[in-house]
Amino acid sequence: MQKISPLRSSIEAFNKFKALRANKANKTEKTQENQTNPFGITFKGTVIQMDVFEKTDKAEKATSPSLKERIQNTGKLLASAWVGTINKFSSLKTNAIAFGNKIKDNTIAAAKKIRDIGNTKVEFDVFKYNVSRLQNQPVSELRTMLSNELQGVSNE
Amino acid sequence: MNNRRIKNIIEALGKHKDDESIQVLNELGTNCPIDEIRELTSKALIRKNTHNALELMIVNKGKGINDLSARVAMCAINELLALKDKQEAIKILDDTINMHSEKEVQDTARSVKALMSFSS
Repeated sequence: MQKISPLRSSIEAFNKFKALRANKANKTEKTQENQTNPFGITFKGTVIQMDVFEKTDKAEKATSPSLKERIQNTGKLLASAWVGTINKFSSLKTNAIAFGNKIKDNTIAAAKKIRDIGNTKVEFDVFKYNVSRLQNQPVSELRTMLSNELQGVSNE
Repeated sequence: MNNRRIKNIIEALGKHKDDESIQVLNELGTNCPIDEIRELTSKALIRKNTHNALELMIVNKGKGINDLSARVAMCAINELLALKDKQEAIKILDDTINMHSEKEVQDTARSVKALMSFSS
């Protein structure tokens, strides 16, 4: 049996450890490569890499719409604004018609009132019972006026 | 009473040039049961400052300065005192003092004449 010196045995042990460590390092690298392909699908013997799979960047697309989409969206906005404007105009139109009808009714009522006033004799007290005007009236007329007024006062 | 129309008619009758207005005021105004109307009538008649109007207010018992209402009588006296030309009023007062049958009326006329002599 060959006698092994302690130095030689330690070198061998170190070499073994080194080899073992190298193996371990290789294993970890492989697992890292296969992470994008967790099921280990192979194509003609070669492991399919992550480049083969479709990129999942749809969400990004949604957040930043393309020029075409932007134009489409702008068109929609314009259309909705136009519809709003049409509604506003229609409401304005109805309001204007109602206002016009109101004015027409008021004018008719005022015309009727004026016609009625024209038919009735209106006497204003301010002018009828003015002192300077009464002074020029005949006394007999003033007598009747005063007696009528006094009768009215005594009846109250 | 706050009847502007009655006031204006009485005032107009007081300023009226026709002597018939005195008769109207005497009949309707001085015989009215409402004190305020009698007061207005007294003022209107005294402001006329004519013989007939002043005679009504000085000589007649129960009218003008002889009114049963102290307020109306005092108003008539005040109006007499406020006259610019008191000659006619004093003349009537003198006649009343000397010739009236009622002593009460004579006394009132005497008092008013005294007041008028003091005020002038």
